[in-house]
Order: sequence, then structure tokens, then C-alpha cells
Amino acid sequence: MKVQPVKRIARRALDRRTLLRGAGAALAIPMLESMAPPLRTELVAPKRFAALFCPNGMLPAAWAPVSEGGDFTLSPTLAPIEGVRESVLVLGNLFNKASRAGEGHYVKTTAWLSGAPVKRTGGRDLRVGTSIDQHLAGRVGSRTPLSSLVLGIESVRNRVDMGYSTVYGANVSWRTPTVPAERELSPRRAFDRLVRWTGTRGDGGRSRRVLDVVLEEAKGLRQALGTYDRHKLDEYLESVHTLESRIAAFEGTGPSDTADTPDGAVAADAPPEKPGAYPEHVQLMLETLLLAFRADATRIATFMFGNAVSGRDFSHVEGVKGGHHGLSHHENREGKMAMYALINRWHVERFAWLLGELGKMEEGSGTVLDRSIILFGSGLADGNRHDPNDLPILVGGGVLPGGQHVRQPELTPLCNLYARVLGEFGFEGEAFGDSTGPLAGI
Amino acid sequence: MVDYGRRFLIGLCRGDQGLAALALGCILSGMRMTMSSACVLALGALSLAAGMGQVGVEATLSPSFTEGQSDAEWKEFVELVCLDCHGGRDPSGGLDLGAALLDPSAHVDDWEKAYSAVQGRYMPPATGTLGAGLDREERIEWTGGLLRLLQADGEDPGASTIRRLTRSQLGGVLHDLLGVPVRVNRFLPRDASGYGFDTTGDTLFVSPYYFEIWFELVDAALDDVRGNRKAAMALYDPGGDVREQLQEFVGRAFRRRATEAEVAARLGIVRAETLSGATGEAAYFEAIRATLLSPVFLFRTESNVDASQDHSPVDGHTLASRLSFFLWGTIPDPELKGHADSGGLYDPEVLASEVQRMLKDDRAMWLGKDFGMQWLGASELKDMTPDVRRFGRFNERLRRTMGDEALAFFGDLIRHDRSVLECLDSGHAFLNGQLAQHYGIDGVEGKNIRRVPVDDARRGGVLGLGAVLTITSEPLRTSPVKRGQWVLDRLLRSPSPPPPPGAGVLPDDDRQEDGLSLRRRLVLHRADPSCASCHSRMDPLGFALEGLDGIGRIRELVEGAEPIDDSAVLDSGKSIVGVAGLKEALLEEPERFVRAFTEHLFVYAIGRPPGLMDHRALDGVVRRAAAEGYRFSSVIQGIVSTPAFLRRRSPEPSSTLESSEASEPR
Repeated sequence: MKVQPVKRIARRALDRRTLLRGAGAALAIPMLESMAPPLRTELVAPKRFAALFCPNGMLPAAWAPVSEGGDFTLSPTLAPIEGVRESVLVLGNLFNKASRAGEGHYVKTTAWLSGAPVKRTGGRDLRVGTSIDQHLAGRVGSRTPLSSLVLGIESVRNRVDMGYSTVYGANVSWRTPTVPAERELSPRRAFDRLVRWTGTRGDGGRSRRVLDVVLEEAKGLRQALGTYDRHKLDEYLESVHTLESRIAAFEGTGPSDTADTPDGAVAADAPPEKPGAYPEHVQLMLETLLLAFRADATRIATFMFGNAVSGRDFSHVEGVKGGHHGLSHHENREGKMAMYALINRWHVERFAWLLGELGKMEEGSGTVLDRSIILFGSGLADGNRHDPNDLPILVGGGVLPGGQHVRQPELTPLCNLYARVLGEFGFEGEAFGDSTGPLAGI
Repeated sequence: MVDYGRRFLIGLCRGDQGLAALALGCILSGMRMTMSSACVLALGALSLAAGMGQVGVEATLSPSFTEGQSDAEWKEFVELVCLDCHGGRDPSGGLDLGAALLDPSAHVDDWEKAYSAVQGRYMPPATGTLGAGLDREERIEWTGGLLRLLQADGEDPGASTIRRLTRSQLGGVLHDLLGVPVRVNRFLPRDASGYGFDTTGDTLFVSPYYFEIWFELVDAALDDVRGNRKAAMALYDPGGDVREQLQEFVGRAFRRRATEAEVAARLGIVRAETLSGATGEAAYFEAIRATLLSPVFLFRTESNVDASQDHSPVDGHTLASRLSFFLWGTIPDPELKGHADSGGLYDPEVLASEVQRMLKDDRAMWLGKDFGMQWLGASELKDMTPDVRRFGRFNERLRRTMGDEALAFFGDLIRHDRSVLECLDSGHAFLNGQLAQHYGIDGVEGKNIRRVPVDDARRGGVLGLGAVLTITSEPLRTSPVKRGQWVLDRLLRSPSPPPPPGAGVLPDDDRQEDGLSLRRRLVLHRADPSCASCHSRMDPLGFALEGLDGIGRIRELVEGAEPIDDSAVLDSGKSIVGVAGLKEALLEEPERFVRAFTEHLFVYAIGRPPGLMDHRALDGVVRRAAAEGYRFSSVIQGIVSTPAFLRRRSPEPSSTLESSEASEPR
């Protein structure tokens, strides 16, 4: 596998960040066009799923549109979606039952995409549930070079908070109920990876020879370990298998449809951030996501604007002074509520922008947006009360009918939405988490 | 054991007949004491208190029940004191000690919880049956009783999960093995952590993507070796015997002797590569690649000498690895390896002198950097975002310098083998010109950080570190709650539990629109009893640090307005003022801090939090350290001689079902 030249080019490309903006896209496309043929045989334009997570909830008073149905009035927070309104479904009254217990943030973040109960632990035996994106990645991910792209901004922190490992607050995507899908935090590395794994060629069997030895040793080692350690080693074994089969697929010597298991994106840390660099960082990550979708490098992605309880200073937004988490606890004071809502609105703006860009990407007879489900929202409603009911949820794209505000019956599980998503991906009738059926009424 | 006589008295003195009667009931029922002394006295006291007031009772009622406690009495105590809440249908916190009493060994997890609550001084609560928490002696007695009840095996090393090398360890190990620096941070993600440290096995994941990056990193590292002729020639000698070179390299990489099979497999790669036209060096590097990608390299695989026992001492190479990863973060050096090869490490004297040698080596600075920064939380410094307008002085250079200050403090502690109590208070700070100016200290110039004597109690020790004060603040203000919790967690290792749902949150600015000071708000908050139980522990500790602002500067006024108020009444009832008062209070119980410090080091070294089975060993570490003036090396020597460090549980034999199912990963 000769990754070197490609990698070098990619590095250089990314050293000039602007390349990602314009030329970066152009750079990746030809490479993707020349990708291994078995991966590109589908004739029907594929469906895609992405979930964008915001920490710390949304101010309900500024979020909820006034009326329901097709002619609802956009609320102050939702005003930015005006231009893509017909592609956005505003959902009300969804809730995540399992996240009502525990504490204010971590369970509501980490179970946002799974609806699973969260085990309270400082590190040992982490347990949530496989998230919907990773579940989908496991089902359809083998059709693309990368089964999923898992993006974030903030590194995991070294501590236990409220009795919960902060690993929980740093992950919405869980590859298995016990192992998070590692996130890509650096735009450079995310881009690097797209280029590397969509443009590499075989290396004459060298890597396979090496991996054969490695796998043998892993199996031998496994025999000598206790049960819990064996599970740990199995993570490794699975990882080697994944890489091995991906290499095989690129060499054209292996079946491509078994080439992948769910994986996520890791990253070197995000560099320590200069004040004001955050919006740029977010922008680059979203552009990477766009690039991945456009090039069909993956069809599944998640992005975290921040980790649970993020105290990020949002003073870069006009009219805001203070940290995100702090302002979310507005104590019903007008000044703070206004600033909190402005932060929420800033996030909605990013979402609207992403939809707009997807709407410009032509594919077959339509656009990528037409065949996408782009989830946006938070794991809690009012941050001041850590309220897990009536979650703020938007669904963008043409798969679910947009242009309407639909409130579900009281206590409708958030997982009903995920069951619906599963149906749209061809797995009708399957339950997910605590779903009671696919989301109806839209 | 709890002195029921004292409880009885407490009840009497408070006029609480119920408590007195309960204590009396306890005295009368469970004790195989002669009725003659205490009970008669107690009965007498009861009538005395009822009839004539409470004068002079304490003096007459001296016999206590702390001697010769039986298990029955211990159980009785738990029944009387704990089961009201932790028993029955809906036990508080889901902890059912009633069930645990019926079958103690089947509920070790529950006892662990009870143990840490008692050790952390949360339980029994002052508002409970006893009317007061346990004192130190009583906690010791109680824990002793619990250990007897569980028939705890003092030599049991506990269960540790196999550990992958951490990112920072990989950096050091690759450098040692390949002879070139490898920028692991460029490739690998920051490792998640459990219990405050990234060395815990449970949170060291290997996902497909992790391996993909690892694969890429190894490639890049070998590229760098090829590009550095000196390093390449040190690694591979074309004139030498390939088998011997492989044997040597694989042994170093795997931290033990390479097996025949391991060497043969790699020779196979070399042969195949050569056949397909690769040069000798290229072929050899493929074998190195196979070594670095192997799980035996990536994971710290360990073994113990007698797998037929439940647990036994680890073998020499495992012990050497544990030592060198603990103290140096990398593989053993030739001298340590020599002791592992010869079996000399089993000799406690050799072990102790190796520890001493390793601590004197510059590589021990690793411990300051890796353990120290994680313990203090200084590794979080790079995530902090003090408000740029409020704290205009805070910039990237200051951020780095604050990190360097913390590093210098820890490095000095290790290098000069100082007392770990210097963490609480020391008469010196580590400053350069920039920091000294930031802190308002005159007479320090230049870029180099050095040890400077200080007489202001607000400096010296970890409480005065800019890094600590900054990470425990919000972007716009200090956080007495965070700081209090930091003291409880990092210095005393008994953090407060999470707030109940619906707990309020403080405003994020010191400049108050409603004129209520932060402190006043916290006082109001504590009016709610459900909040008070934790906040009365946390807040006072944080108040005492109010003389230091959100980026560690000394201040007299809060945001240029009100004067600061750094007086506080601790949970114990003691009144203190400022940092000096807090330091003094912490130093009153040096063994409490040292125990906490030891436990943090234990988590870091062993990869799991200490449990009940480690209790006696940890007590021993603290006693030993006390006898040696709490020198840093005495704590390290203590940890290295705990069963958890020296021994290992044998893996349980795998069932055939389990192994066949899992040997085919998905």
C-alpha cells in the first residue's frame, strides 16, 4: 500500500487551509472517481444520514415555532432556516426516556442517538448503546470506503464529573454499547483520511503479510488472557480485521461488501484554540463533512459542536458575552436568555448553511440534499432545567417531508424518529432503542 | 468500632431520648459485655439525664466498646445505623446493605460503595441515626470490621484490565526503540481517561480507526528512520545475523524474551520480502513493522509465576515493565532488564534500590509530567478559555508558562525527593519574569523558571499554582464550588456526588446585575438542606481561595468593586481565613492528604481505583511514608511494594464456548 505520495500531497494541501475551501474539493474528486470499481457500482443515488449535536440545550421560548403544520411562523432561533425552510421538518414533543435519570448533561448527550440507559461509572464498564449512526454504518457502511465519519471539536477531558466518566460527554456516536466511535477533531486529519482511504492502491501484499503475523500473535495472546482482557483484545482483533479487509478491497482481491465494520474518526487533538478560532474550526469540520458526502466517501456522519457541559466562550457572537454552559443556566433573566438564544441561533445558522450547500450538490436527477436525512438538535431542551422533555429536533433533507412543524403526541420516544430513519434506509419494521414504532404523522 | 456509650451520651446530651434508647438497645442486645459496667452506668446516666440534667456524665462513662469487637457487633452497628435508609424495599441510592449483610461475599460491590462512602466521610450522615459522622478511629474500626466480615485476602492484587500503551508512552517507547523522535500527537487521539488518569485499562480503546492510524503512524516512523542513516544503521546492520538482530529487537519491543515462534514468523516476512526483490534493509523493516503492529507490543501483556494459584507474584519482566512504565513511561533500560533476566528484582532490597536509582534518573521527570499534570488537572489548561476582555493578560505564552510552572514544581519535588506535604505548602514558588510579574512578585527576571522563596501564603504549594487556579475558574469569574470540589477530589480524594436534578447554577460573571455577590448566592443555595450536605463541604474550601482571581492573580477586590471575603467555616466547624488558613487546616491531618495522594498514584500506576482489598496495603504505605518524613520516594516505594503492584491474578481458564465464539471477531 503506497500511502506515502498521496499522504504527502494531502498534507501539503492542508497546510494551506484554503485548499480545503475550494481546491481541496477539486483535489479529492478526481481521486475518488478513480476509486476501486467495486465500490462504485450502485446506480441509484444513495441515501445519507448525518446528525449534528449541540450541547447545553436550546431555549424553548425562542425555539418553538408559533403554530403547527405547513404555515408555521419561524421562531427567532429558527429564523436562519428561512432559505431552506422547505427542506426542514421541525419536530416537537420527542423525548428520550432513559436520559431522564442520572444527571443533567452526560447521559443526555451520550444517549442522544441511542436512547439507551447510561451506566454510571468513572471508567470501568462504560455502557450506553450502539447509536443510530453507527448502527446504520454497520448495515450500509461497507458500500463506501469509510463506513462513517465521526467529527467533533473538543477533546475528551481527563476527569470524572458527577460520577460519570467524561468519555460520555464527549461521544454521541457509539460503535458498540461499550466502545465509542473515535472522533476526528482536527480538520486536517479528517481531510487527510478522506484522501488516504479513498485513493490508495495495493502494496503487493506486504501489508497483508505483516497483518497475518500480527493476527496470529493476537490469537495466541488471547488464549492467555482472562475474560475481561479478552474483550479488550477483541477490540484490537476486530480492528486489524477491518483494516485487513479494507486493504484487500483496495487490492481488488477481497469481497468489498464485507470490507468494513463500523468505524469512526479519531484525531490528533484539536490544537489549543486561539480566541475566535472556534467558528472557523466548526466551518472546516462541516466542509469536511460536505466533501465526504459529495465524494461518497461515506454516507453516515456525526458532528458535535461541543462536548456536554461545554463552557466555551461565545463572545464571538454579536450580543453574547460569556460561556455556553453558563448562559444556558439563564435563571430566567432576560439578558441571559437573550444571549443563550443567540448562541442557539448561531448553531441553527450553521445547520441551515450545511443544508444549503448540500442542496447545491447535484447528483443524478436531483441533489444530495434530496436524498439526505440531516438531524440537528440537542439532548435536552431548556438548559436551565436540564429538561429532557420536548427536545429541540430538526430534520433536514428531502427524505422526510420538510416545510412543516409537527408536534408529536406527548411522550413520543425520540427513538421513533430513528426507527423511521431505519425504515428509510430500507430496514422497515425494525425497532430501535425504546421506539414504539416509526415516527408517524408526517 | 463505634463507641455506643458515646452515642448514648450524644443522645442524652441532645435530649434525644430516641437516640439514647437506640444506643442503649445496641448496648444491651449485641454485646457480650458484662452488664455490670457500661450498661449499668448507662442506665444510671439515662435516669440522671432524665432527672437531673446532663452534668458530669461524660467523665463517669468511660468504658467503651472499641476493644474486642465481634463480627456480630459490627453487623449490629450496620443494622442500626445504615439500614434505615440502605435497606428494605427502596434502599437509598439503590444500595441495599440488608441484602449485603445476609450474604456479604456476594455483595462485594455494594460493600465497596459503602466503604468509599465511609472513607469519604459522607456516611453515616450527621443527620442520621447516629447524629454525627464517624471519627477517624471509628472509621478505622468500621473498615476493619468490614474486612473481617469479607475475609478479605490481603495479598489479592485485584482485577486489572489489560492496558494498551498510552499515547504519551508510545511516544517515548518508539523513540527508545527506533532512535528517532516520533510525533505521536500528530497522529493519535488523546486517550480517554478513567478515574482521572489515562493509564486505566478500561478506557484505553482500540477502535478500527485507532488501528488504522496506528498503522499509518508506524509507517511514518519507519520512513523517518530510513531518512536518518544513523538511526537506520543502528537499527539494522546488513553485515550482522538477521535472526540475532530480530531476537534482540523483538525482545526489547515486547519487554520480555522473544519466543522462537515470534522470531520465526518475522524471519518468514524477511524471506518473502527478499524473494519479491526487496533489499535486506527494506525486508528487515517489514519485520519491524510486524513487531510494532503486534498486540504484544501495543498492549502491556503481563504474566505471573504460578498460574495455578488464584494470584501469584508477577514474573521478573512484568515487574520490570511495571516499574519502568510507572516511573519513566517507557521500556526498561538494560540495567533494569538485567535484574529482570536474572530474577534479582524479586529481592526486596534490589527492588528498592532500583526504584531509588530510577527516581534519581532524569527519566523520572516523566512522572511529574504525566502523573503530576493529570493529577493537578493542569493537562486541562489547554482547554480553558478565560474571557479575553476580562482577562486581557491571559495569552498563549502565559498558558504555557503556567503549565511549565506546575511541571517545575513537580520536577523539583521528585528531583530533590522532598516531602509530598510541600504540595500543600512550601515556602517557595517556581517563577520566571513573566509569571512573577503576573503574580505581582518583584525581583525575578528572565525566561527561565526557577525556585524562588516566597513569604506570601497565597503562593507555594499546588494551591498557589496559576494552572490550578485557572482550571478551577469560569471564563468570567472564580468558582468557589469548582475550587472546593477540586480540593476535595485532588487533595483529599473524596469528591462530592453529583447534584440532584434541578439544582440551580450560579451566574457566570462576578459582576452582578442584581447586586448579589456570588458568595451570598451560595449561602442562599445552602439554605436548601439537600444542597447543603455537599456545598457545606465544597464551598468553604473554595471561599478560602477567593483572594486569587480567575487566572491566578492575587486580588483584594472582586472585579474592582467589593472587597473579597476569604473567611470560611469548614464542614468540621473550624473557622479559617484565606489560603493560609486552608493550608493550615489541611496540614492538621497530613495523613489524610498523603493517603489521597497515594491513592491517586495508585490509580495511575495500577490502572484501576483502589478498592477494599487494597485498604490495608495503602494504610501501610501511608504509615511507612510518615516514618520517612513523607518523602516522595517513600510513597513510591510503598506503592511498589503493594500486592497490587507485585502480584497478578491468574486469568480464569477460558470456557471452550467463549473462546470459540470470540476467536472469530466480527
